[in-house]
Amino acid sequence: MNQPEHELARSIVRHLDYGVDQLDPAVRERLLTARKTALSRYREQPATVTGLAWAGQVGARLTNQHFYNFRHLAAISALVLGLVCVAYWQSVGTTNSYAEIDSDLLTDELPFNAYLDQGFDSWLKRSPR
Amino acid sequence: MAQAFAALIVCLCLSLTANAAQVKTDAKKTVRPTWSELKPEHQKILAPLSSDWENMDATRRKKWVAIAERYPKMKPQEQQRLQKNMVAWARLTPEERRAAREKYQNLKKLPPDKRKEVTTQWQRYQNSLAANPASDPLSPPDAQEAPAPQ
Repeated sequence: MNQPEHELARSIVRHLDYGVDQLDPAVRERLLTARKTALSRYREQPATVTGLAWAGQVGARLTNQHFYNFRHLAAISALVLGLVCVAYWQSVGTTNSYAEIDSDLLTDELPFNAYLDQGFDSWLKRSPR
Repeated sequence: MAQAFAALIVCLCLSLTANAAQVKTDAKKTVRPTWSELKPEHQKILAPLSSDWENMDATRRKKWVAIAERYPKMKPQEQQRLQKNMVAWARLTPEERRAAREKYQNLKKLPPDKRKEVTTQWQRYQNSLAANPASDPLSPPDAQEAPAPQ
């Protein structure tokens, strides 16, 4: 800031101070109150902004259709796909297990009738060991 | 968030219902594999079951296909036994098959000599029935007199 600008600033300050001195005390009091109120609100503003920003972020998460569609539906789809895979592998495992037992049982030297014949059960129990 | 949970629950219910419905309809609707969908070599192996195929559910059909896949690796004698037993086994009730599998698995746990003994006893039992059908089948030759079967 150069010399003429300093002179101008001092002149403006003098005019303003003079003007203030000429003000009615009631008006000065109202201005002071208004300034205090404005300053108090100015200090509270950052906290208010933070709160709104946080709330807005959550709101956006919940209401953003794109987010809802993609993330949640992807998670649900993965879960359902997982369940289907588990059911499928259980089914395959059961089928293979039955196939293994049945093929062994039906090709065994002892025919399967032996396992169902109650008379043979009694025969075995009465046979001398 | 609540909407997401609701959607999740609905999906789970739908998948479970679909699964249950599939089990229910397996016996009624087109059950796969159908006989014509089988490979020609599997049809040949499973030929004794062709007339019973329509009455089988999907799980049993897949089981028989899996058995047919094992068939080429079996010894000729085992193949003959399988062919001989196939139809009678398929016509048992599910409870009878379950009971037979259970007893077979118990027998498998025995030492080989004990298993051989059971097979020998079965042959004796069969011979006893064949030799004298009117006699008491519950009495082994070496055993004492037993009451008549009920």
